[in-house]
Amino acid sequence: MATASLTDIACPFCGLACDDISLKMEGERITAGGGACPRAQAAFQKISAPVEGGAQSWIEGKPVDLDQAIARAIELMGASKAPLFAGLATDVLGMRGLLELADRTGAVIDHMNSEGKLRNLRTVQDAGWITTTLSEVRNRADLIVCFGTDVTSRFPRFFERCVWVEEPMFLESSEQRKVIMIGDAPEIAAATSPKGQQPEVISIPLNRLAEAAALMRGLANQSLPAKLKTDLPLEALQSVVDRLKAAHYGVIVWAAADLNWSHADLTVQALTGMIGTLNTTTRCAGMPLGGSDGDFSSDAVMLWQTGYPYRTSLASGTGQYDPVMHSTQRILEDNEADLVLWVAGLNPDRTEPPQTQCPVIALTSAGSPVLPQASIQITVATPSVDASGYFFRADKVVTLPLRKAIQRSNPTVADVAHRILVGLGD
Amino acid sequence: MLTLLKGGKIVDPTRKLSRVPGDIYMRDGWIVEGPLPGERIDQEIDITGRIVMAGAIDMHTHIGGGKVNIARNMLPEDHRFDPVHRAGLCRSGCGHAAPSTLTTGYRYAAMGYTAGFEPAMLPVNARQAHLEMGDTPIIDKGAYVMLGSDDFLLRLMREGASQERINDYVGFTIASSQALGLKVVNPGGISDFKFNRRKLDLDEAHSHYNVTARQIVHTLARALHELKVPHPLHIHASNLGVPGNFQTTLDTITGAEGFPIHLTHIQFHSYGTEGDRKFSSEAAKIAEAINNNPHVSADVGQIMFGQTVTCSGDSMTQHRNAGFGSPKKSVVMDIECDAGCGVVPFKYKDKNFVNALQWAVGLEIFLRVQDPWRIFLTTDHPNGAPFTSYPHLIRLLMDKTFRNDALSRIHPDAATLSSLGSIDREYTLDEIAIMTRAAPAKILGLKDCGHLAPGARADVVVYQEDSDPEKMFTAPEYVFKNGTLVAKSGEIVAVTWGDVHVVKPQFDRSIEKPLGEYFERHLTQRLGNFKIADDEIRDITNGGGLRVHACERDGRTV
Repeated sequence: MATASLTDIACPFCGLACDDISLKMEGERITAGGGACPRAQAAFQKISAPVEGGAQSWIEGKPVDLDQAIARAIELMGASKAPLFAGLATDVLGMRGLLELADRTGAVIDHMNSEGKLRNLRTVQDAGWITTTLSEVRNRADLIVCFGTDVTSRFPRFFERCVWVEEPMFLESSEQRKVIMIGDAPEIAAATSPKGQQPEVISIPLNRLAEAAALMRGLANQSLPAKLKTDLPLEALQSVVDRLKAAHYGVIVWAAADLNWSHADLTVQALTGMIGTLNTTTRCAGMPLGGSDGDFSSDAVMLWQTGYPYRTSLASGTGQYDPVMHSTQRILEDNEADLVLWVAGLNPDRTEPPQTQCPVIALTSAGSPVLPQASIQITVATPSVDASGYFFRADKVVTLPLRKAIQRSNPTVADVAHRILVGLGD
Repeated sequence: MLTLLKGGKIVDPTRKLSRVPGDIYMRDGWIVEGPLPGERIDQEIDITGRIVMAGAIDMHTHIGGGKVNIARNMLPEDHRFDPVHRAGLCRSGCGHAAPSTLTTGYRYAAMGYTAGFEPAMLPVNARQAHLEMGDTPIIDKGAYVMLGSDDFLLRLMREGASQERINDYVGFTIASSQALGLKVVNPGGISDFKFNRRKLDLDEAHSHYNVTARQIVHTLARALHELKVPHPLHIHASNLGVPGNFQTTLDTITGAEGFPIHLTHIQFHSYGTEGDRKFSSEAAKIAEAINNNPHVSADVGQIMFGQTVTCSGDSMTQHRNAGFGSPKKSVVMDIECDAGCGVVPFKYKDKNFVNALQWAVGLEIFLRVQDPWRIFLTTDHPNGAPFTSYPHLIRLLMDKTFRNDALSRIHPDAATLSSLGSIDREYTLDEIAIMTRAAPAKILGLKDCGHLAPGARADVVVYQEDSDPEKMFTAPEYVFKNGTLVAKSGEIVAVTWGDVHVVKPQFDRSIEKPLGEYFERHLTQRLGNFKIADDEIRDITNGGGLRVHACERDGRTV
């Protein structure tokens, strides 16, 4: 069996997009090494595993060849008056193809991670913020406050790559750093330094975190009433604010997906408002981590091609952005779509489409189960495995090239979108 | 395919042709002398009496990269008033301050522009900038990559690295980010903002690296000169927007010590501290300095009244000005030990004293700089105004009565403080052609653009002359891009994909060894993934090509 290897491959299976991954290929099978975390190893292994029976496309759960699947997809898309493009776990090139098709068909466009992402987006659209990027955290942060997240469960190598590093440029040692975790019994193992310095944990139940963020902002800008009564640990929060004021470069880390309560955008605004106040005297920045499932990649393309983020409808012939109206869940609950194009082309464990009565065309990564609810399912090539592509990382600044490791016959998301577009004609 | 444009009046300053009657032949994307013996003319268009110029070139327009996408993200309310429907050949999109890339390409082309250059591409964000420019149809693109607040350069300078080593790094950065030129923004200031510095003057030392903005400007200007990169250092000087900053600007000119430099959005750097409000125009002094220093060029960054958004790499300044934002929101970022950015929406108002004076300062500079080859027509899109305001700006320059009418409507104190009303100059059509075509091509080293001589790219614009230049320049009758008719009287009739213009300076590749180690030790991506290969550019331009321009330049000017 032919073997080959590649180094410095970027991993598209979480927003960190670590690009120090080495891949060993034996035939189609890929083993990820180098810096690869267990999640990355599992994803590369699963996607590259040979498929039993070799089927790559299905109509109503029955194996078909790709041309048949595409032909049926063209029929469904051609008959649709209100398509919904959802999931959208893909890279830049995939999204380029999808948007051309969405424009032609007047689709509504939404991502599987929109609900979390909106918590940040609303903040940016209402007030803005001050943020930073991974390498700045790595070299500069002397105080890191993780708010409502242990970071690691979503971004496994964050502490390894951005905190406990050998040689931060502007600190004598990363051991000088202080990590504070504010949350509901966060996992602290990864946040513990190599020399055993544990993070300071301020335990606050999940349903009180919104309040805690508001208190911190109030403490920072000294707007709290003098006789405020709260059973939250005010002194501990005051101490965090004091240390942020004293820090040279404090960083508040959150993962919007973890702030899973209603109106959590106000929690993000409380944090970013506090950061704004802190920057009148020192430096402090937010690090809103995201980017998993290609949510920054496909959103970036949305923004530059349409001017709007997800939850935009092209039904009227131009973009109409409405974060409430155009949510996948609401549209499907109210039966306002007649076809779902479900794109889940990255993480093989996250390919399940939402519940719906209308037909579903599912573009899924290899390793996905056969989806009984999909009218059509097509296995698409995955960037960094059997396709090349581009991926926006957790800080939205660095766009990494994804290189093709193995040759397989799976079409890319862009290929499928293009073939449907051509099939629809003018 | 041979196309003849018959009987136009050719305005081609590169060949000193001013309304000279003549024919233009285009074959396979290029301008040619005429038919070969026996060659058939496939298409003939009678343009008798029309003005013919080369395609216009916007040499400073923020059309790609993270900060523009941040602006799009922040401002759905601004897009909503300028929807663009899918129609004919064109995809949907939206316009106004931070338009979609698709709309940007269509609108530039419809206005007779065939190239636009992104002036502030961060090295670590270069791939995104190219992806966005790749989705900008019709026009050619290119970018100036930003250095000057990146830790690698500042480390080299602190260590006293040789100019040759710095040249290698500059050459590497230009080549690996696929850039056409080099920009410096608030030299050292973006970095020092990360160390909590709020203002960095030209001769103040960076708090960590102990180098000054003056040293950075000089080092980078010299590097480009020695690398023979055609476009001189593109400088966004220190102290943008600060009253009294004209002195910084004058000092920046002397600080370059004769190396060629280009001062960008000079309007924002020409303020004095006279008057009751301690804010005044020093446009005359700045214009005089440009007039007296032939190695200095500038683009204006004219402001226009209305809503826009400012997108800048200058995080220090944008943070300082965030409170003036309208609507009141702002995004400020520290970026990857490389750079920064700040996005602040602005609404410039004619009844606001400061805005009114800014407007007058820009026009004064346009009118007081004598050499149209060294002053460029820009609004620093979208920072001063969206690029769609260019026809209006051209009328302000060409029509004194129109200009003075506008002057009479601005804040009276600003009008009084400005000498704009006393300037009689009206730009000629030839001068407009110089500043929007011939001169940008020349200063960027684009030998086959900006003129209509045989051998040039067939980027050709045909105008119906009108007593109202705004009307004339809004929707030219014909626009050809690489010989293809792409727009007709403001309508897009073909969608093509332009090229990416780059330079590839020669440098010692051994710089990649310390750089590779630096990336591994301190940054969060590998050097190999930072570099953008030629094939990548070809992949992402939707079929546009990569055009490499020669690095060659005459000797030092002093």
